Amino acid sequence: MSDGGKRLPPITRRGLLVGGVALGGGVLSLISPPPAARLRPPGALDEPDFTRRCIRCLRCAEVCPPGAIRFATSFGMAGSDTPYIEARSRPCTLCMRCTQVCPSGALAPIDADRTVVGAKVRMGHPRLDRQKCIAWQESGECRACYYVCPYAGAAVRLDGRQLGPVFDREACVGCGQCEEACPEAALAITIDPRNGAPS
Amino acid sequence: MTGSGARNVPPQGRNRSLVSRRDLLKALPAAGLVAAGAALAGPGAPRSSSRTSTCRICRGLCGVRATIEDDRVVRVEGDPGSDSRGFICLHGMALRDIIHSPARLRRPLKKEGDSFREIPWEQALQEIASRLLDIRERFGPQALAVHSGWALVGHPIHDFLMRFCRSFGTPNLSTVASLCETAARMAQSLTTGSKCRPHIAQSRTAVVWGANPGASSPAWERVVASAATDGRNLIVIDPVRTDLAERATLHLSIRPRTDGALALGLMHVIVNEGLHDRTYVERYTVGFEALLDRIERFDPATVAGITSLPRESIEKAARMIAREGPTSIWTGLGLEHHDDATQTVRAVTILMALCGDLAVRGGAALPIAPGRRRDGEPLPCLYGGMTPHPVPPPIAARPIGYDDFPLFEAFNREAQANLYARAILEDRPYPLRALLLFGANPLVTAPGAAKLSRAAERLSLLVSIDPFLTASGRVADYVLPAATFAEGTPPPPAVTPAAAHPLVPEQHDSRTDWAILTGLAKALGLGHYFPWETLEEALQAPRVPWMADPEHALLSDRLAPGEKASFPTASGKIEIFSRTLERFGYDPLPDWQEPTRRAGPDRADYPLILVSGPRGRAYVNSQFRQIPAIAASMPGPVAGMHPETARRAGAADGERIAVVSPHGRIELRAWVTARVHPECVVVQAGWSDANANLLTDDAELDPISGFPVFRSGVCRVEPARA
Repeated sequence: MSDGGKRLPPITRRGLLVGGVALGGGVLSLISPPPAARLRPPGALDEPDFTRRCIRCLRCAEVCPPGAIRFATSFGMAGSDTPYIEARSRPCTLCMRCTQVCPSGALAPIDADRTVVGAKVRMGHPRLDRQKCIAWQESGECRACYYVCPYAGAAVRLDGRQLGPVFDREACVGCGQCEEACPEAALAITIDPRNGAPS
Repeated sequence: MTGSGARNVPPQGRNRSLVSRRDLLKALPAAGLVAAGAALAGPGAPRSSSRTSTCRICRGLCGVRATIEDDRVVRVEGDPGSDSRGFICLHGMALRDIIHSPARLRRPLKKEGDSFREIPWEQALQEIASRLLDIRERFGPQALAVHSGWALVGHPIHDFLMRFCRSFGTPNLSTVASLCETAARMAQSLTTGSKCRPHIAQSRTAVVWGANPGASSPAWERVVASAATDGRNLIVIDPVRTDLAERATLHLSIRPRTDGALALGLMHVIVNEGLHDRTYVERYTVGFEALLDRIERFDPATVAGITSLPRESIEKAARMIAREGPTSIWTGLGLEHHDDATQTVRAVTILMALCGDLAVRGGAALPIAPGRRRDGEPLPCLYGGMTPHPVPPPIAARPIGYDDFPLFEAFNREAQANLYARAILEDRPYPLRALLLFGANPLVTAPGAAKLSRAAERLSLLVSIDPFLTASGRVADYVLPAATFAEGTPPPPAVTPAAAHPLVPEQHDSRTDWAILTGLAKALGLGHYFPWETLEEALQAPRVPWMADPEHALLSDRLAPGEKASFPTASGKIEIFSRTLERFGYDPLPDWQEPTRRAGPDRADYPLILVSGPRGRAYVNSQFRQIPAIAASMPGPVAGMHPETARRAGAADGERIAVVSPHGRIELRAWVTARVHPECVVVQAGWSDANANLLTDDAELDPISGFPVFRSGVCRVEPARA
């Protein structure tokens, strides 16, 4: 984690609200780093609606089974404490619990049904650099992205003699499992956040 | 999970090395921005190291490289320096989440009333031992059975499970061999004297028959798929159009349990058109003349009717297999989960013999060389014929299954676990009262779940040894938390490729299978048979033969003096006609008969063929449903069916439906796809909440191997109740 983001333990929201009120936005906004585009949890509204709607209650992070949802601590209230996912270290497992507990509608509720998730969730879009891909370069034996993909066959299929991955931008839900799975020596896959807007 | 305190724990390790938001917020008002800056920087980098090991979740045994921080696995990758050249699948990737899963069992559990109570290890082992001794006193030592599951397949600890059983005095050790791969191994060995390993990489025609390596053996997927992409032939025979079938030169969407007829039909075409390898057949086989009578009635038109395949496809496949060799055939469980399992695989093996493809490069490799197998030794792969001193005394009692499936027992020297429910409920052949499960979950994975549940209640002692609380664990009297293969302290050097190098210490209060087994042996007063601290030490102890059994020397005849063996069989040749089968009272030649219970459109009650058990990519049998990253691929159970089948049953894709068999009923979602043969419903196994084995039973078994009829049951589809 390069950006100082944190995963959250289950903590009481009351404690946070007390802290938040005590701090106010004034002082902290002085040191806001420039915001970057981030992968939002599934069901997120488009930016900037998402940032406006999110009340920073952290419930999404509390219920996230793998602990994938993080909160930025940018010290700028604009982007501060809105949830994001860093697929490289801990991607989304598509349980949709975060969308079901979100009280503000910043994450629209989505049924955990596989077909529904496949149709509705578009967290981001996959980008593959074939020059770095172990399978395409035949520099080893790797189909990690295909095996971890919850929608393998649709979002990513294997092609050619190498069985190299080919992504379908439209079918991919953007959970980031493949980005995490892609070996350190390759780092050939990036999920570009759908919103592309600063968080 | 009644009363299991083990499950009610907060998720672990979300942010061990990271500052929590609450801490940060607390610090801010008091100490101001300087403190905030310090807190953001974190408490310093954790100790990080990299370790290599072997993933033994499946038999692919892929090399893995793990990044470990403070005794926690934080990342797993394939090891490019290993034989698997960096390949791992989603299971290897998920090792981190499996090891550190919040659902792991923490301490031994004892059932009290309807709930579990945590107890210390020593108490658990002592209590289990004293109950076992009591059962031995009342019912005899054979009233104990030890059963191991997928997690232990191929692990050298099996020799010591056998040793444990023999030192206790019971012949009843069983493994996944009761329903996995053994029917094929027996069929191949009855025919060639050895297991046959397809040599796909060098074949000109590759046949994948009743198997889906992409899902069940991912490490080999590329080798298999390359047959098609390299311009060679790939024939896939499967009632489901798998991803591999999509790539194939020829896909035969066969009606389940007609594979034996197809094999005989292919031989019919090959022999009729004179495409068989006459020299090879003459030199290396016995029984060809007798076979000719058998294949006569399996002409292409008849076989087309039996198998639902176009006649032209059958002929095309036969010519491709015979003319464009060497041909290698990968057979899978799709051929084995029927009541004619052994004879079907035998027919396929003989098909290879007619084409001259056995013990040939690009055909099948035979790992057992002529003359190497000793008379009466069990089949390779299960138990070594040797054990360290002191050898436990011989056992008079025969294992469960000996009377019903004598060849299974002769080959494997273990019990046929599919008969356990009968032994428990009906005391046949004798009472079974105690069952130890090492990484096994038979209530979900074995045939006849309903009956097995009743049997579990009747047991005096059921012990589940597993990293997780399984469906079988929930009804157990004791649950012992086992470490996964990737855990252990101190990490010993890897003893065999199958015994992986531990990555981290045992989690919580779990113990390795070895520690549990030897702990139990000591508590039973059998410690002198287990004097070693570690499995590695035990494996290095000098060994003596112990599996020789004069009765099973009958398995082999002696070669006539001066005769030279080409194959490790009794005759020294490939046995199209098997005298062993004949001696044990079975048909010595391959054949195919209609099943006694047949589904079909003429049957209003059960018009559809039930195929249960094909593995998806996500899970290995009943394992890993607790792991979110794996569950993402397959959040719930589905029943695959053809659009036409769905239409007739009034079911739509994604809708909840019920699958009903004569044995039970389960509800799950419909997966409507033209990939599935129109006469089938394909139900995934391994779910405890929609248990496919509520639809199967333990009464119909392959008469030779005792294998269950997972893939040719009968069923119907109807609307769900809820």
